[in-house]
Parts: sequence; C-alpha cells; structure tokens
Amino acid sequence: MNQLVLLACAVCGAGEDRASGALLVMTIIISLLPLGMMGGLIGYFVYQSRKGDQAAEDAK
Amino acid sequence: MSTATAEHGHEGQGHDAHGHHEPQNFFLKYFWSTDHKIIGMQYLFTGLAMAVVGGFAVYAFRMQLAFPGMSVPGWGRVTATDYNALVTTHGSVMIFWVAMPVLIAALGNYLIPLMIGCDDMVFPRLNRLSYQLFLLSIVVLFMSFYAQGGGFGGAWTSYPPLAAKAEYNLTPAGAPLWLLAVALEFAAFLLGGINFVTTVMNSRAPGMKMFDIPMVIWMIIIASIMFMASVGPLVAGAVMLFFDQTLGTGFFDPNQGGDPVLWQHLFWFFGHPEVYVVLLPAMGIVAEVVTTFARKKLFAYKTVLYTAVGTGVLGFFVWAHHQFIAGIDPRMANIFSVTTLLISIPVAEMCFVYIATLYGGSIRLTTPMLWALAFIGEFLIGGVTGIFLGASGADIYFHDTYFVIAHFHYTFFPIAFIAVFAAMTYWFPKMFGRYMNEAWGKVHFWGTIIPFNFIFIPLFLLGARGDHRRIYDYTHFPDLMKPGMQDLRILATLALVTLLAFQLVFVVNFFLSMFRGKKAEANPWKANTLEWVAPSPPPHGNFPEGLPNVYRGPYEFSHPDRQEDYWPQNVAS
Amino acid sequence: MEAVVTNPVPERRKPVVPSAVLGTLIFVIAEVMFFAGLISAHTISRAGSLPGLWPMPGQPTLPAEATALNTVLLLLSGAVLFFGYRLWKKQSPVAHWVTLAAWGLGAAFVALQGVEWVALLSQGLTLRSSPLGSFFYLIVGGHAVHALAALVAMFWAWMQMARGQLTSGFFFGVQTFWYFVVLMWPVIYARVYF
Ligand code: HEM
Ligand SMILES: [Cu+2]
Repeated sequence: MNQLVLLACAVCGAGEDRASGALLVMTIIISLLPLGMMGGLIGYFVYQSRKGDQAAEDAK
Repeated sequence: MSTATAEHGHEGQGHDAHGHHEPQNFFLKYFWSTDHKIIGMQYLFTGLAMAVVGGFAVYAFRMQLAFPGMSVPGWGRVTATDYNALVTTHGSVMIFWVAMPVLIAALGNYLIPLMIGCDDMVFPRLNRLSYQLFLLSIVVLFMSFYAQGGGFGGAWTSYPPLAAKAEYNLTPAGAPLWLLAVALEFAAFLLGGINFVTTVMNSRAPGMKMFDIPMVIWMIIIASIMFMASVGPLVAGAVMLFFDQTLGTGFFDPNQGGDPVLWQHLFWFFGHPEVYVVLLPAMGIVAEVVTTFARKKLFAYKTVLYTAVGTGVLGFFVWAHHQFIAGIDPRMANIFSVTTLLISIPVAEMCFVYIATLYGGSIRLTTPMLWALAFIGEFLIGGVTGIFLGASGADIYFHDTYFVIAHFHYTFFPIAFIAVFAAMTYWFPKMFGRYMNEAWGKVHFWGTIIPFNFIFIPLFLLGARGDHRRIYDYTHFPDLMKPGMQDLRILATLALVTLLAFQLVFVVNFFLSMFRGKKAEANPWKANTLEWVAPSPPPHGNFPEGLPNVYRGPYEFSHPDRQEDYWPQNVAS
Repeated sequence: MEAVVTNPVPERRKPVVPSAVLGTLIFVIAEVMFFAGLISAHTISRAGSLPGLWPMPGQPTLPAEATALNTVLLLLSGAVLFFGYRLWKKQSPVAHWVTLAAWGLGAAFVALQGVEWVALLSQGLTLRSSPLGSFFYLIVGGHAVHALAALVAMFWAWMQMARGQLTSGFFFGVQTFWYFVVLMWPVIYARVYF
C-alpha cells in the first residue's frame, strides 16, 4: 500500500477545514433532504385531503 | 379507480376479493395468508420468540460479568469470543428482531385496519412478502451464529475496522451474514412501512378525519415515515461495509484511503431516528391505555400529535451525540449538544400530557393500566439521564460506560417490553376473544418492574464510577476495580435472572388464557375506537356487520351529555 | 348498551392520492436517501483525501466528456417516456412505439456505461485500486442496478401497452421509478465524474 494514502484518512485530517467543511455541508444536506421530501409529500397530502374533507362537508 | 393491477387488487373498490372463502388448509391459512391479522400475529409470535433468544444471550453474558470464569448453566464457560458474540446478538436481536417487529410490524399490521375501520391493508401481498423477507432475515441471522468462526461479535453498532476486517473480528462469515440479515430485515420493514402509510391515508372509514385517527395509529405512521426516510444512508453504509468485508475494498479502512468514522455517521444517521421509531408507537399504546382506564379524553390530542411530528423532525438532527468523542469537529459537537437537549422537551411533554390525562380521571388499575403507568415513570428516568449524556462535556466521561447502558435500557426496556406488555394485555381480548388472568398479570407486572430497577440502578452507579461497557472480565484489570463494584454487578445479574424467571408467568398466563380464559365480549374495556366494534376475535374481513362509519374522535370518555361514560366512534348519536 | 349503528353498504373513501402513487412515491424517497448516503460518503472521503491523490497518480481519470453523451441519452429517454405517457392518455395508437423508443434510449445508456466500465477496467481502475475506483463502481453500479430493474419493468409495461392491457397504476409506478433513475443520474454525474 502506498504510504501516502495513509494520510488520506479524514479523521487524521479532522482539523483541516476542507474535510470538516465537506462533512458539515453533507450533514446539512442529508438531514434536510428527507425532511424536505417527506414534508413535501405530507404537505401535498394534507392539502389534497383538506380539499376532500371540505367537499364532503359541502355535500352534506 | 382504474388502477387495480394484480398487486393492488385491494385498492379502492377492488375489495370483492373478500367475497370468497378464506383458505382452510392450515399451511395456507397461517403461513401463506394475506390477512393483516394473521401477518400481525406472525410478526408478534416471531418477535416474542426472538425475545427468548435475546434474553438467553443477556443471561449468559451477565452471568460471566457477575461470576467471571464460571461455567454458566445452559451455555458453559463464556470465552471472550463468546462474550462478544453474545453481546452483539443481544443488542441486535432486541432492537431489530424484537422491538421493531413487535412494536411496528405486529401492532401496525394488527391494529391499523381494525382501528381505521377497513377490512385489510392496501397492498396485502406486499405485506405477506414483508413477513417472508423478515423470516428470511432470521434464517440468515441464525446461519451467522453457526458459520465458521462463530457469530459476529462487533457490537450492534458494527463499527469498522473491527467489523470490516476478518483479521480483527475473527468471524469471516459471521460478520457479512449478520450484515446481510440486518439489510434483509430493513427491506421487510420498508415494504411494511409503505403499506402502513398508504393504508391509513386511503382506507380510513368514511367520516374519519385526520384528527379522528387514534393516537397509536398516528404514532406508528410517523415512526414508519421516520424509518423510511432515515434507513437509506444506513443501507448505503451497509453495502460499503459488506464490500469491505467480502471484496476487499477500503471504504472504511484508513490504510486504503478510507474513513472509519464515516460509518459512524451513516449508522447513527439512522440509529438515532431509529430510537424514536420505536419510542413513538410505545407512546401511542400508552395514550390508548391511559385514556381508556382513566375514562378521560386524551389531554390535548393535537398537541400530542404535533409534538410527535416535532420529535420526528428534531430526531434527524441529534445523531452525532453518539460520536462526541469519536473525533468529530468540536463545533459540530456543540450544535448536536443543543439539539439533543432540545429534543428532550417534546419527549417530556408527551409524558406530561399523559399525566394530565390521568388528573381527575376515574382510574382503574387493571394490568394494562399498570403497565402504561409504569411506562411513564420508568421512561422518564431514561429521558432524564439522556440529558446528562447529551451535554457533550459530561459525555466525555460517561461515553461507553455502564451509565450509557443504563440510560438506554431505561428507555428501551419500557418501550420494547413495558409498553408491549401494556399492548398485549390490552388487546388480548380482541386478539383471542378471551380475557387474560388479571391476578397473574399483576404478579408478572411486579415481578418484572421491581427486578428491572434492580438491574439498572446498579448499572447507573457502576457507570458513574467509570465501569467500561466493553470489558469482559474485570479480574484482569484489578487496578480499575473499586470496592463494591463487583457486588453491584452481582446484584444486577441476580435481578436479571429474577426478571427472566418471572417472564415464565407471562408465557403460561398467555397461553392458558388463550385457550382457557374467560370469554370476552366485543368491547370488554368499554373503549371507543373501532377495533372494539369488530367481534372478538375479528373474522376475516374484520367487520361482518358492515364497515363502520365514524362520527367523532377516539377519546370521547365521560361526556357530560351521555349516560354511559364512553362514546364509540361509530355511534351516530 | 346502545345499538351499534353501522353503515350497511359503506361508501368507500375516495383515496386522496391513489395508493399505487403514494406507495411508489414513498419508495422513491427511500431510494433517494440511499443515493444521498452514497454520494455524501463519496464527497466526505474525497474532501478528506490529500491533494493530488484523487485520482491517484497513475490511474485513469474518469471520461467525463464521453459520458456527457450518455447523460444526454438518458435525459432524452425520460422526456420521451413522458411524451409517450401523454400520447397513451390520449389513446394514441403510436403511444407504445414512443414508449419503446424511451426504452431503447435507456438501454443504450446502460450499454454505453458498460462499454465505459470495460475500458476503465482495462486501464487499471478497479474496485480495489483506489478509493475513487471503489466509489465509482459502487455508486455508478448502484445506479446501473436500478436502471436495469427499471428497464425490465418498462419493457413489461410496453408489452402490456401494446396489448392494450396496461393499467394506469402500474404505468405510474414504472414512470416514477424511471424518472427517479433519470434524475438521479445528473447528480451522480456531476459529483462523481468531475
Ligand atoms: C430524551 C431523549 C434522549 C436523549 C437526550 C438521549 C441521549 C443520548 C445520548 C447523548 C447518548 C450517547 C451516549 C454515549 O454513547 O456516550 C445516548 C445513547 C443511547 N440512547 Fe439515548 N437519548 C434519549 C432517548 C432515547 C430513547 C427514547 C432511546 C430508545 C430506545 C434511546 C436509546 C439509546 C441507545 C440505544 C443508546 C446507546 C447506543 C450505543 O452506543 O450502543 N435514547 N442517548
Ligand atoms: Cu441518540
């Protein structure tokens, strides 16, 4: 194994900004992504079902 | 709706499939059924059987801790390798093969169609496939125990490099098989989760609005959504780890340019939401039981619901509290400390709402109610000690000690057992058409709760004195032993054995009541939700008198205008 | 005890969002998270590697320009499929030919990727040769597995369509899954190839 590669470990470079910056950005993205997607789906659903409930009320 | 393909035959109006007779053949009826109740039972009994496996593992390694080097009855001498494999088996089985199947899959499958008033899941065959995958995952797990080199011993968190390199873990076959089993189990729950969410959204009884859905159903739904949104990165990590184990890649190996801490991120990104995945259904069970036996409306239904959603959202932002001392950026540790402390607010709030529900109610201390009350009390201890650990400064000292073990057992035991016992004693009459014996139920209750505290309070004390969670035999480290520590370990182990012994009471009571118990009517607890409209036990198709219509919310107890103190959801006036 | 009032012939709830649609969407969300996990792992590992080691000296760089063609083919395939869907809804007789064209474009994408893999392997970029190689084969391979599965399903949908037996639920599922495969690719392309 190439000795240089040993230094590629991200933990050993944890103090280095380029590694922790990437970690931070990815953390933000990966945390917001599921919430955004699920939130979008739920929002769409609630909107649709409000419409449905309203229509049912009107029919009464 | 014209979308009824073969798989979606049960959608919309496509329910005529229920017209024909269900298969009578024993195998077809109990192993090849698409009926949600049968699948729920399959999950329930499989999960409980796995609890025996997990319970046996903890018995064996706790005996080793209390009496190092002894020959444990039923196992023999616990070697260091055995010890690691037993701890791993205990942790992963209890979380992935007991809590998840029982709380989410069994209760979800059994209760969702009954409580929302429909006859089956939307995708019944997907449901059957889900159970089959789950069963397959268990087969693979058992294969890993008997594989060459023995079962995997890298802890349920499976950190590399220990988990990735056969040179270190010495289980060249056990480690990948374990990982495969976990992945299969996730696939099973993914299918189940899709089914749950779709069914609740689309098959509710007419008239059941969003805020008429019983709390336990909401909780299962929110938990399923959290599970499905968080499991992807872990599966990605699992594939990478699997490649490291079997193909020699170096994703997590610094020697090959990889990053071992990356696994921890991917694992805990799922791992922390996972604890709320199991917590929320348990909270839902408690809501049902507490309202029924306090004869009171749930205090602040909407608040509980929004709180649960809030917990679900916040639950995605706390995972790095498991890695405070894993070499992460200290600035990140600060942020995660704050979010961790924040999340205990909604969790505590749910407990307080239940206490407020009790206030002024006419409380009946039946066995399910005792379990539900115990859940609130014991879980609060777990939540409060979580705050200690969430403060990153304190966690530097507490991390990987028995304090952490005690913390998460004070959360996890109430969830996976106390709440489950509440659920089983509460819905037993519905499931089997008979009552469980109350007196033996209470014996079992006290025989579980008292030893439970005697196991884990000593572990708190040990952890606070620095007892490390991964040490197999402290006689090798006499300088780390303080006076009295071994006594505490022995106390915890004896309490554990007592607790396990008392579970026999439950098993006997369960099976005897199933066949001999007093016959139960459709609505033995005088509760409001729709499952009590169906006969006990519900037949195929659930509601032989026609599917119910819903007129009001699930918790209308002791309404001033009514003579009876309950008001079923399906009664028009 | 009051007489329990049940509705003898219950009107069923009209699904707010059809079940097949909702189920597929949730599944796709889980899948997106899977790729998000892979891509974030790749980004973090790459950022942590020392300058000059990504790609490793002596190893081929990824053929970003040549892959641009594949990318265009795949995006085109998605667009054509959408067009085919519109035609199908209008019950046009040529709808299934358009769908087949979308399938062909998708298959061409997978085939060209295969050619690229063979070339890279022969130049010494393997799963084990470097972190870049590991991530490349893992992520692009993961995408390829999804693409192949989607192609099988799409072919099935095409056969049903040609016979006039296609149900909208199934077609919706296939389309959603294919759009997921199509739209995931540019992200992978941008992150992994450059
Ligand atoms: C009030 C909310 C909670 C807070 C603030 C909290 C906080 C924490 C913290 C900071 C740790 C890391 C300790 C360390 O490893 O040094 C931890 C570990 C753990 N917590 Fe919690 N927790 C909470 C609720 C829960 C719940 C509801 C569960 C449910 C099952 C749970 C299960 C666990 C588990 C399993 C671990 C240890 C994992 C391991 O290292 O093996 N926690 N908790
Ligand atoms: Cu946590």
